[in-house]
Amino acid sequence: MTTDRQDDWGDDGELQARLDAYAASRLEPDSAATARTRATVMVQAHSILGPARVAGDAAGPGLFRRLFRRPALAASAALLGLAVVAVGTAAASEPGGPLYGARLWVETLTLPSDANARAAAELDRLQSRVDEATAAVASGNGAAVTAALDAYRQTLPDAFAAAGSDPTSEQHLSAELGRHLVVLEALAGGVPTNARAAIDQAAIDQAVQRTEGKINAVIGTPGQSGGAPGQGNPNPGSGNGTPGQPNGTPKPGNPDPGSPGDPGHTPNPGNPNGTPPGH
Amino acid sequence: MNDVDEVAVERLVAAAKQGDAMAFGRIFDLYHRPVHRYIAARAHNPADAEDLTQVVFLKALEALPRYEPRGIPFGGWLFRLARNATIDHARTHRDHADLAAVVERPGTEPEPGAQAAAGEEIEAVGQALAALTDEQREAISLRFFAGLSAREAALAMGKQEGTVRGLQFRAIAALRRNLGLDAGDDEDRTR
Repeated sequence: MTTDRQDDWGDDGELQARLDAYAASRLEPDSAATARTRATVMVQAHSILGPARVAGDAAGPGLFRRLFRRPALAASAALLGLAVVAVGTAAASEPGGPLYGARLWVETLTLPSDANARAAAELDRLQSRVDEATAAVASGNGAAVTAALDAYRQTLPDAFAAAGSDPTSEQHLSAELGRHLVVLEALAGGVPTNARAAIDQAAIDQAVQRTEGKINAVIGTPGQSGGAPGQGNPNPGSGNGTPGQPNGTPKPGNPDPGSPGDPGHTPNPGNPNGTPPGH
Repeated sequence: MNDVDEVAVERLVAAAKQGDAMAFGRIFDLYHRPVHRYIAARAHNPADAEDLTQVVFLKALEALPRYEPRGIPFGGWLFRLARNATIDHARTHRDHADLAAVVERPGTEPEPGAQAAAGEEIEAVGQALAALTDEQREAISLRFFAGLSAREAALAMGKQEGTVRGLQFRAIAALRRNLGLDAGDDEDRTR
């Protein structure tokens, strides 16, 4: 832990400062690389572990925190929530499911009124839609990808409206949207081979393109600095603009965890079953 | 690991093992930066660091069902994967390493004024790190750049905790010497 490290370093502040500067300059991952890696890893995670918890996760603790912040709406939202639980399973409220629209509506009901909190909540909603799209790609559900990204595009103007006149919120939102662009690009090209046959790839690509187009429209086309979003919906209804390529070229990476070649390597890198030597 | 709640991590690991992909996403968010910093300290260029970091998390995903805590912190287990991945990578890419180090090392372009001075300091740290033994450099990478505890670093390196502390102690002494930070101490001793 921190104290543990401090004990070992004593008061060697000068050396620590130099190592910190070195790490900041040479070792930090850039945000595009992080987004690319996360997208690839999450596609595999959903493929291997399963997408079952996505719906619950998206409507998780954050939702309940927001509910309690606005008690006037809590009752009606709770009733609707109960109805959702009573009428269908969690699957029904997943993207493309019959209750997905209702779940999105509940989300809007529970948005906080405070401007900063609302901007953060809208950003959370966008992230949830990206996570849902990632999960849907992994499970080969083209309709769910389309539904999640449709919802993403519908949320986009609200997110910009919530960011409002606060330059910090707006800047943060634009940065996050840039990251979403990279994730979306990775999704379009990162479908696992074993799931590809079951996927309506054209529909996914179209949904991704539409969403990229929308993002590019509100933050400015790649290569430009983030444009003024206005009210966040400069291209209402079109939704089919062909975007330029998003910032950065996503790398396919090496999604083959079993074959990085470990000739004669004794420590068994792929299978350290949690037992260290000597234990 | 620094600033990581081990109980919360074990809860996430348990959820991921039960099929919760989003829990694995949270694990990724917690560990991506330290893993990347550790790997970048050992890899020859940013692209390798990115690829290797991805490989580590994909391997972790595959090996997760076989992970059992039994008193072993998840961080130690994950960094053992990272360490083995970097060792394998170094073995397979050794022939290209020297050239890559020269050609692809970032931040070597000439910079103006104060930036140039800072750049020189950073370059000097890089050279001082390169002058360490492999094990010393590993101990510094795990303890300082990735922020692991001595216990986690020991697990990752497959060594005793005391051994890792010893490596770290000698590495710090060598770094201070190579960076000229011992000058004041030497003056004190000669008085």
